[in-house]
Amino acid sequence: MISKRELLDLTNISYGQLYRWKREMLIPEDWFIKQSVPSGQETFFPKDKILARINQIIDLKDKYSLEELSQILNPEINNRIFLLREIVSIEGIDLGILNDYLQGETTAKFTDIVLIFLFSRIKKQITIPNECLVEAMRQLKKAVNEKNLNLSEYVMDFIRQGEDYRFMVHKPDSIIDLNLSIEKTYVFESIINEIKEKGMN
Amino acid sequence: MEEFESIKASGANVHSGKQYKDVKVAGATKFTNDFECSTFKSSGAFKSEGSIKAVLFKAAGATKILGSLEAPEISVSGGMNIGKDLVTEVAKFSGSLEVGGKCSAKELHISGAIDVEGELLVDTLELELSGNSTLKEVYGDEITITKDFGFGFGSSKRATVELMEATKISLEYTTCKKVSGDVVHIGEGCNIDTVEYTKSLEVHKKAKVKNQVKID
Repeated sequence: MISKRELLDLTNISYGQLYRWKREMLIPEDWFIKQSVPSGQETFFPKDKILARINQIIDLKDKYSLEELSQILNPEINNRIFLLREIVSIEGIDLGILNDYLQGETTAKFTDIVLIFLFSRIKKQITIPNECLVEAMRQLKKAVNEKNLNLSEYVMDFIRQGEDYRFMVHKPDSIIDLNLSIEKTYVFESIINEIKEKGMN
Repeated sequence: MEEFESIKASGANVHSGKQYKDVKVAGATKFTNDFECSTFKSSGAFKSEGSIKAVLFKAAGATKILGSLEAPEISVSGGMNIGKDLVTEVAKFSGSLEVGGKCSAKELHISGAIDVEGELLVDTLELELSGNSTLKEVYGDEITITKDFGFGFGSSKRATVELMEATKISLEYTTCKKVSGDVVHIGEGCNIDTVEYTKSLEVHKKAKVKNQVKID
């Protein structure tokens, strides 16, 4: 724990900044812990969490709008915006896939991360020309974003017919032509759980 | 986005909807549910039994909201009573404001009197006292409390605050247990138990400060 006075000294921020960030919900209210001290009442904070958070805010506040910043810091994973350096640090992300997916963007939503992670895995597991993979990935990105799909309800089949490759995204109970030879099925829900287990909270 | 209906009413009227576009009411008006709208304008006696969310909230007269009020822009004159929380960006009140819960604002300008039961979190608070005000804990960047120049008995115009913390604080006619700030001015008529400051402190000769603590 760290007292408010120590925090202000250590981080060199003013009362006004601290309270503005609290008001803007960049610092959670329950991190302000009031305790009785001989001179009355003093506010304390969980030390590691608050120091990390203030450094993050100082680091990012000029680069992002308040709304974006709140989404970056918001622990609600589906509303969060992830920074490039956070995405790169996820184990299993292929940098080539990441670049082809983001095409210069520097942030991504959680659903984007799910797709990047999935295609990184496909690249590793399935032999398929890279341009086919990237093309399929871009189409899927577009469709998911346009339709605002809740990916966790879907599965994706990889179908190979001779030299032809197909990806099919559908709900698990869809009826599919049995003549299609499905080489592999990816279940989005387990992909999502896997990413969450890697500590993306 | 779906288009909601607007209300324009006067006289004695009661509404029970939950979504409106623009609301403009005059006379004695009652809303029985929580509702959201784009702009809200009321004059006369207004009562909401639930909470209100609006983009712009304007009221004159006697305004009573049993729930919370959330509106980025607020302008009120007369008496306003909010049962729960007040959340706003820029708000101007003239008259009296009572808040039963917490209050959070970027800029809060009040001329009159204010009572807040919970915490008051502001970037800027400008309070011009023309009546007694009671606040519990005030946190912010700049807090200014002054007394207006109206006629009458000065002794009845006083702010009583338990705790105040801000970057810049300037007070008149305020009673407070503890004031903490970087730059603090304690003006005429103040009665403060402890002032903690980091940069500077000025105390008016007609003010009482029991303990002054400079923090390095």
